[in-house]
Amino acid sequence: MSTGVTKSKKIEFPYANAALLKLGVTEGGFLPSTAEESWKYTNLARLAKIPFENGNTTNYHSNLDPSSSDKFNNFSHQLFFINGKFISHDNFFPPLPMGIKVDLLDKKSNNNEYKNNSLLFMNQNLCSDRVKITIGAKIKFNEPISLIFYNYTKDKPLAIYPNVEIVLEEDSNITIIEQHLSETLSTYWENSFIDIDLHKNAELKHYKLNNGCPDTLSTSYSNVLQDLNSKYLCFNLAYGSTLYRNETHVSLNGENSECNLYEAHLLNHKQHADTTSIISHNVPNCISKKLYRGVLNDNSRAVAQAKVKVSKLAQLTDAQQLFRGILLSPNAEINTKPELEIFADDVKCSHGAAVGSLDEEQIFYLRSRGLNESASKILLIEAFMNEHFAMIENPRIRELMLGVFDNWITIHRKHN
Amino acid sequence: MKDSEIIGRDEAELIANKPYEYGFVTDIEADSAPPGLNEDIIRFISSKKSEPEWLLNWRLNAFDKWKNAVDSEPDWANVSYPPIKFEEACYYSAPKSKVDGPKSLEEVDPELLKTYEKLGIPLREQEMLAGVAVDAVFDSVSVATTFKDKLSELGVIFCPISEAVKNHSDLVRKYLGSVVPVTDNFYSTLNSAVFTDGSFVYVPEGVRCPMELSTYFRINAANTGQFERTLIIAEPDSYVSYLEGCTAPMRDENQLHAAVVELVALDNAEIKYSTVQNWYPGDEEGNGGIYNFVTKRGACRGNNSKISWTQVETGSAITWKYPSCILQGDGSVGEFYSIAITNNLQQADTGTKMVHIGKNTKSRIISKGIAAGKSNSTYRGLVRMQSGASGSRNYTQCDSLLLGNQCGAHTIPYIESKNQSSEIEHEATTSKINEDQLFYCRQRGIGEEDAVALIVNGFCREVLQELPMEFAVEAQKLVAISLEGSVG
Repeated sequence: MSTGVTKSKKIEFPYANAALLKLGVTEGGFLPSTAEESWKYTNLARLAKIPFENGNTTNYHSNLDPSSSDKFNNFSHQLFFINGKFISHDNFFPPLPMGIKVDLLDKKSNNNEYKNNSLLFMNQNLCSDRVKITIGAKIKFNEPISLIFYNYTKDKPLAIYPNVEIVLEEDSNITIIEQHLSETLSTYWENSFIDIDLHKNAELKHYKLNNGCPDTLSTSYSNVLQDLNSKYLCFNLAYGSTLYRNETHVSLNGENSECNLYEAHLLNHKQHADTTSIISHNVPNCISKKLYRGVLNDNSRAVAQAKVKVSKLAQLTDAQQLFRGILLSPNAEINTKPELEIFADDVKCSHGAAVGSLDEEQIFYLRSRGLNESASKILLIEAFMNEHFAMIENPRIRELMLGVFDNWITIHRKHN
Repeated sequence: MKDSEIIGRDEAELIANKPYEYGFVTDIEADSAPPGLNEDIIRFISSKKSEPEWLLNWRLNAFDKWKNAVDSEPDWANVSYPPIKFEEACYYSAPKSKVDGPKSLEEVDPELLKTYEKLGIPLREQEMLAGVAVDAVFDSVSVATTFKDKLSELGVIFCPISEAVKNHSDLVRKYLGSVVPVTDNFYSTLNSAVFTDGSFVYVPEGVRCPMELSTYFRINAANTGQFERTLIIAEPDSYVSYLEGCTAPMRDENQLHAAVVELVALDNAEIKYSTVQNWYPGDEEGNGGIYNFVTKRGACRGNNSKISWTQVETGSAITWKYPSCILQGDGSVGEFYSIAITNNLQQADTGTKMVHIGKNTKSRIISKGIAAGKSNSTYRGLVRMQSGASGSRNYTQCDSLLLGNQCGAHTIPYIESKNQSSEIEHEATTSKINEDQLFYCRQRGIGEEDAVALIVNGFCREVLQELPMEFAVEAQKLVAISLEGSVG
């Protein structure tokens, strides 16, 4: 505290103010400040100073053929977004398998649903397209469906608002990989919203890779609703962007549902990455897990926050949180906050956090076996992260993620 | 020597010292400040205590700051209560005269006596706690005086803070507000303006204080003040253990308690601060009860210094308390052992802060929260490794136990590391009482309530064993009593 003026919970955001005013919306053009508890460790003030333009006003690269380029790590089924705008499917890609439907929804202008969350409010009002992907009942599909969010900027900084709704109807089962890639001459801010609804017995494996260019900014928000016996697995790798925040809200509304969130941060330079999640156990017999691993080099900063809420009704909840961070440089910083909020007595809830450097004894052991210091360290980092990557079932996706990890190791090796 | 005698004689000295007090009380009107909070009240408190000019100015400055912040009462804690009317409270009243108290234990509320019995409090001590006027004939040589002699021989100063302001002004001036600054938080600012009571302890260099300093022995501490201010200074190579509060239920008409405790440990010094807090928690419907909003902080200023907090919090309607350690000196150590028990409609938001600044500093946090009835118990803790805190370590364990499905247990740990070479480990669990353990106890003929008490005591063992002997036994019983009526 503060025996002075209370710190404001809002940061003025002139760009958003103007953009919303154009739509006749007079409120909501601000950013959350660090005075807000869930933004305590992530400061968005630098966004406020950038004169953004809405991404949807810029035409994309006309020469770009998303189906032919290697850089999109082509999977057989893709949905493509450029600067938040959905690229009509038929032009480039083979048709989607039966039972998977993509619709463009009407924009919810001046939508008050997210009035309290200014980032979501901006997304709802300023997005170019609202895309709904529906997986029909009993559709089971092994091949991953790739969502590519490709951002392209020229001379002006852009604000980009991907908005996607994914519905899995009863007994369906699919894998989605969400990749955020970019090619930029000036910065952008990607503020995405993914709304996921899992019906009875549905199962979604959701992989996310943020591989945006350095100097770009990204905030992402996912909302997940889970019905009876549904399963949600999310693996998120934060690698690109200078500022990245991934916020996930999961509501376990059906009994026996299960949610597993895996988060990995591989950071360099002055990168700042934040993973924040709230898992609400609203009914009995659900399982949730949040596992975080971060490796931080140089001046990077990581934030790992999670809150597990167990309501009065949610007896026999099994909730686990485990956060582990390794600091490789004297200037790196990690802030974690694994929270529990429990109102039911017959529960098993635990959280653990461990932060430190690589174990000197382990390094010594490896050196005594003939490895040099740098190789020993890299081996230990690999061992630390590989445990996490082993959770990825799909071999192609694992290969893709491990490729990114290799890149990071290469950069790390050059640095040291 | 039996405890009962100590207290009896202690009490006797209180009576012996009465004339001074009477001199104060003759004019009742002038001895209590009218309700309200303004500069005049602060001047009144200060002049009542014949304080030096600098302290009055210090208070006025604090009041000024508080006035400016009066709208920013903190709201982040996980507690809820109707707004406190600071204007209607009374900020100064002279200690109650013992003459008006009950004449013997027979006049004391039998409910209260039952509780004393369960806690195993000696008879003489019961009389003191219940405020029974004790015949001064009891005593010829006061034990308290003997203690005082022994302490002063070693150069240890242990007296009310208002006395210290007069007799050891330089020391108080040097350290007061140096650990908890006036503007630290809303309630500490208020306390700085209106504090009236509390202890002052000074342990000179190289002295190991030979006895546990308990508020029991501080003669005028029978009535703990509403706005206590405690300051403990341990010079290099010294050691002191301080006990605060007692296991017996304490009733007080003042609803708001906002104490400030400051500890300073210099090179190689060690301070052990133990608290048992059992203020009136309100009735089963949550009416009444004390709001205990306390700021406690210790600064390990010297190298290899150590501060250890142990607390058993069972009372108060609302507890808002974070005994903290600033680990400034290289190799300094901070410890926090806590049991917080809430029952009925009690709310507790408690925890600690360990701020590692110096190299090779270590901290250990063991927190046990037990929630029963419709209560809410929150652990809120911060562990911060500053960039200079190389080679530092922290270990945190916070476990919560829920009894019944109407209560809530919350854990909010903040873990911040800016140092590569330091290590932080944090573990937390929340669970209910193990059915197997309960069954095992029941099978051996132990009643359900006793079985629960036994298991909860086991759950708290790590903290209970940190308490000084005389507290530990009573605290164990207190744990059981606090949970009465929560089972079945």
